Amino acid sequence: MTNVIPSSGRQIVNGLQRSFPIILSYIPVGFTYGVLAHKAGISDINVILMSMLVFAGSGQFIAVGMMAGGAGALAVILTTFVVNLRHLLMAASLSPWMAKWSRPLLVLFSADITDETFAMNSARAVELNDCKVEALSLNITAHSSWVLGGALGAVASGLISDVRPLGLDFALAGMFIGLIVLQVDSKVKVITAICAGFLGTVLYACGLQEFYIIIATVVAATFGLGVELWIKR
Amino acid sequence: MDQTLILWIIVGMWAVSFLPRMLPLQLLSGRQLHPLVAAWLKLVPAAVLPAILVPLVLLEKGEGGTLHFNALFLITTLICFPLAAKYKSLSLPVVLGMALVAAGRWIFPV
Repeated sequence: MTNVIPSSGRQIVNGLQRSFPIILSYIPVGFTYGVLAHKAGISDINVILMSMLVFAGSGQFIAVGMMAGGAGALAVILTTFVVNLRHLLMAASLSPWMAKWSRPLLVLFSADITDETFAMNSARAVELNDCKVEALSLNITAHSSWVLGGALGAVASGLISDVRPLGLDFALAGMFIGLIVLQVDSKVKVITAICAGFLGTVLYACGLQEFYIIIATVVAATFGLGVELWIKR
Repeated sequence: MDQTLILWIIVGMWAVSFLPRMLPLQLLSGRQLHPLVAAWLKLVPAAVLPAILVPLVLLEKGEGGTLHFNALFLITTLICFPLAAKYKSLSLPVVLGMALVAAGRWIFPV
């Protein structure tokens, strides 16, 4: 146990270093988003604005796909809400560790909660109260690289006639593999993960293509909790 | 497409993405959650990530929205997963996965 709080400069550097693996996946995934969004007919400014304001990998991909397919504004916004609702659960699970944060800093932090920054921050949740600058540095660096990747993709879109020969359409899946490997570190979590993957696939195949994520998540996490309680009994 | 409408869609997407991230931290910060709620929340990432990934690599949307089995993505995932687990890497499966998919399509053009 160490009680020494690193200096702000040190924390900024630490945050940058910890964000490096996120940057390595955000640049190609963001790039793919930029290419697809530009091809869907979204202006470069709007492509970049969406990455700055929404900052949600799968949410942005799904929204672009829906807009390209001619979906209405309300359907796109509602789907984004459902797909990104998981961030509510992530924010809630970090909240017990952030008692010493001021409200404005919490707003700044919460704008950058994604699967990836959550994975990194929750891995060191005990230090969140003392290392605010490090957490913000990690989040802001990650967000910047996401915006940069998207901007590069929008600009390069004209040069790329099809994303498939480059394997760009696998980028998002690749990132999720890396996240699962970081997150699923106990027997109960493995059971939860298998249950969620199975349910998600069945629901998706059955046509629930807007709600499969949230339903599979809630059911599988509840099932996992039941297994955990049953093991501990 | 009408860029002004897209701008408004983006503003709407921002609102529905930002509020669920912001409100729990403002309302719950520092409070002790009920142990059962905390245990449930701990399982959420392990549930949400596979719920998105597995359909993404198993099924492919073809012409007219019909679903097909995606063998190339599945094989790529089966190769990337153990390697990512071994090296605890977030970026390895992205880079290797894209390379494998690109190579697979080059060797077996459809």
